[in-house]
Amino acid sequence: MTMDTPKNKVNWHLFHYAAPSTFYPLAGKAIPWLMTLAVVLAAIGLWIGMAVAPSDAQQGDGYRIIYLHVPSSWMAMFIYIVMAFWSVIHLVWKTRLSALMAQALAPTGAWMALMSLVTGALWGKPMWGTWWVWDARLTSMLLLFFLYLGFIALTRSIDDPDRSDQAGSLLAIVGVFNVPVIYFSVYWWNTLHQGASVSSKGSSMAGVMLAAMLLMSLAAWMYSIAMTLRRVRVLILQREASTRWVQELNIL
Amino acid sequence: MYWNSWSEFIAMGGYGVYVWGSFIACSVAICMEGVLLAHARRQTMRQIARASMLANLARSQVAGLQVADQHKASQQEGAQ
Amino acid sequence: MGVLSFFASVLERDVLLAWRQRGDVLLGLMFFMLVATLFPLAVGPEPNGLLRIGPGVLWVAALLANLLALPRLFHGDWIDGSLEQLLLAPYPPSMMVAAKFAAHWLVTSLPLALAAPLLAIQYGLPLAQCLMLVASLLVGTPIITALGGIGAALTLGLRQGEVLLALLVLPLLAPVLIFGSGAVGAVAAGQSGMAELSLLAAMACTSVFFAPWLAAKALRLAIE
Repeated sequence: MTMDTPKNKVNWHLFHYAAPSTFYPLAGKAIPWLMTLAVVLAAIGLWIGMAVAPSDAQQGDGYRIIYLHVPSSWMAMFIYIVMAFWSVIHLVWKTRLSALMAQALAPTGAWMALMSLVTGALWGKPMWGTWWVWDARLTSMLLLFFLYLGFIALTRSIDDPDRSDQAGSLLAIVGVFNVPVIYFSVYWWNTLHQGASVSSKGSSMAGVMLAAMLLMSLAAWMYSIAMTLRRVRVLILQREASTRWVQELNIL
Repeated sequence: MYWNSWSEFIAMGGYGVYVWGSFIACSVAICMEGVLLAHARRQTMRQIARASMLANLARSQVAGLQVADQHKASQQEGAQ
Repeated sequence: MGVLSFFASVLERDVLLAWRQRGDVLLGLMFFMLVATLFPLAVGPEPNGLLRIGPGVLWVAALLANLLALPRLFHGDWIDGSLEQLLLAPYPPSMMVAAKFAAHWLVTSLPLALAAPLLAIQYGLPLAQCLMLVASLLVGTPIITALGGIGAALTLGLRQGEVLLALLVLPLLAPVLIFGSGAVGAVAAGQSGMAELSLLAAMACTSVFFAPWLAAKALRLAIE
């Protein structure tokens, strides 16, 4: 019955960490490290960005919002791609954990998109004179925010776990192919109606500014991974509530 | 170090409201995310604890009944 | 029975069913006209203003009217169990879904596109723009049916499914709206508008090619 061929062994190792009962404690151990890393990176990045870096020639000190705006925008876009990646994995290999990863990523992505929108508005007010400009990047970020909300609403309103996982995966895949189309169309629409001049932010950035921005982006990355792992742990508990290993966790 | 004084740092060359406003907005968002997540976790924990307590209770009651049955049976044997 | 005649028979059946319930199609048309009537009441009847917002308003109204009809795509067959039968038939489910998409487009989107010039005249659009509006609606609405069909399959049988469907599908349809009303706008600006139209056509081909397959997968989930 138990033929231990080498192929079986490899499979076992690959899927070993995909078992929720193994992944749960592993993620629990990783979270404090990731959070510490995020805080340290953000502290260094903010020190360089807010205290060491000089002010911008054109935008004065208002440009310093970039250290929040750009990392959150990058994460908002990147998280959607990661979500689609886990969705493909889920649809191909039927691994439960990958669907939970996609569902755990979505709220963090939505928060990132929201932060990007709010900081974008706060940047736009002094630079463009209004809170909201129908700029290509802001508009496509708003649509991305709605895509996240749609994904969250769909997965939460389906009670059956299997259907919820697979429906969410399908939606994320449809979405990820549409995001470039949306971005392109909004960009095209924007240049047609306003001219691209408003969204150009000066291509040459001083090295210090770039370093601070990259550090902040890394911090946002670590934060997102940590929050996703925290959320996936809750989702695992909800899904596996009736299993023995959860009951034996001695939660209270 | 770019700044000469704290007040200059706070003023951000006249952009203080926007720069610090976006910092506050992001902090609020991060705190909200954390609070919502902690709330969801607590609620899940509570549900699991309640479920396992009920399961234990049921198990112990069944065990108790079995003990009582055995006791009764042995008493009846003794009476006979 | 070959795959093509299966496609044809599902198409015929759906068109026939829709013909028996002609009122539904008329409701969609009425909604389209009502929305288009509301805008002049809200923004004022100046001919120049109406001429400027006309293409956009008519496209938004057509988009919403199409969206309103989407939940009907699978709901009736799902309720009476025939959807399950169709999925179990010995043909590719994507073929069945494609036939249902085609029928849905014929009975809802086509009448809307053909009724659009009537409203365009009310907005004072010249003939060239009217023709481009019809052309862009004819090319663009298959995308609405295809992407919306995936959404309809994903939300089939859910509480608040209609609202959810709108939330899922509307962000995905932003490009259709942009290029559709952009094509009419280009004609208004003295260009040909063919660039926008061909982009719409490219999007229509891609979505019509992939959507039936994805929607069939989503339908399986809803049935199980």
